Amino acid sequence: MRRFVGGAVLLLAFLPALWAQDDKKPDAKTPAEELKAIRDEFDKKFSDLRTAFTAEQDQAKKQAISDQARAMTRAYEKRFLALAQKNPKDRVAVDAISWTMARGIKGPDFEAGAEILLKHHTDKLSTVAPFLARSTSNTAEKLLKANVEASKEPSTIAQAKLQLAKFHKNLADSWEPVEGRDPAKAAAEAEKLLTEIVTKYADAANVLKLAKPDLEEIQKLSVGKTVPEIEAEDLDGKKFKLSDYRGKVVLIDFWGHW
Amino acid sequence: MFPHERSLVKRLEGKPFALLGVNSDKDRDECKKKNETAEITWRSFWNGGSTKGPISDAWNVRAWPTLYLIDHNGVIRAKSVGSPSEKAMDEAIDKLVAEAVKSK
Repeated sequence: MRRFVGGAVLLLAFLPALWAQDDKKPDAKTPAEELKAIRDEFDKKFSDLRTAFTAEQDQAKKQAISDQARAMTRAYEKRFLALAQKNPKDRVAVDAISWTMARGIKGPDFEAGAEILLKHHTDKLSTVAPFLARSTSNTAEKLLKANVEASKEPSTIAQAKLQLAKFHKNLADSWEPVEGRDPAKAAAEAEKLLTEIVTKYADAANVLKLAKPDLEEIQKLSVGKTVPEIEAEDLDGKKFKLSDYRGKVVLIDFWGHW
Repeated sequence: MFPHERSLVKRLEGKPFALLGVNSDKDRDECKKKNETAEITWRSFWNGGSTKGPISDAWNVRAWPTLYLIDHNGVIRAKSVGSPSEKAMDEAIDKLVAEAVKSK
């Protein structure tokens, strides 16, 4: 009899703990689960919009759908950023911020995400580096430089330098200089980085494959260089040369009707 | 893009200026037909029927359109991946055309 009571008392002692467990909110998610939930929600909505876009024939309505998709992306960027700000040290913050940067987030939200990465995740900057090359902001350059500093293996250093080179090349390839940036200096910086990759990291074959054409382009086709010759047929099959037009100002336009 | 280029060509008729395309459409005849409709009168080099052709490969062109502005001495003076603003284009081109006219 005593044992049973003892047992019953023991059981009762455990019960409060069990009750407490059940009190926990049933849909409390881990940060990773929260990320997945937001991402799945977005993906479904985006897929629906894409279907509607494809089905729509009217151009104005198509544009409206496109605008809607863009607005929705901007709204979800805020949710991803909020998740990152709630869990700045968690790996989830990298994935969330990476999602926003892949979609071209700009302005204060971009800065906020960048700050979290620089503070807590310099070892993971290679995740976002490819998205930063088209940005013209000083913060993007800061992240790309930090990525170079944090890289350890030759192949990752080469990759990091390639992304930074692309950033500078992008600035050099702008007709209208970005404020505070000199295209000639940017071209020189890109050339320096690409030369380093090609000479010091020759073993990183896949990085080299991407660096070489960009380096040759800067060496041959930067502002200030003499234009190379083009000799080819026109649309009527008649051969002609770019140099036929020497003495005139020429605007060369790589284009298509598509 | 086309309206501005049409106006450039018209505006600078008789001046030392030429607009030359490098065209990446699949089919030459199709392209010519579309050119007629769009009133594209300027000459284009044929890039072999794709965006991966001999000229674009030699120039490492990966994004379209890409523009190069060359002065009357054959020196590259500006470059853009994507179309710049019409204002920026007009300013740069007019400046170089004035240089070319002066040099004659």
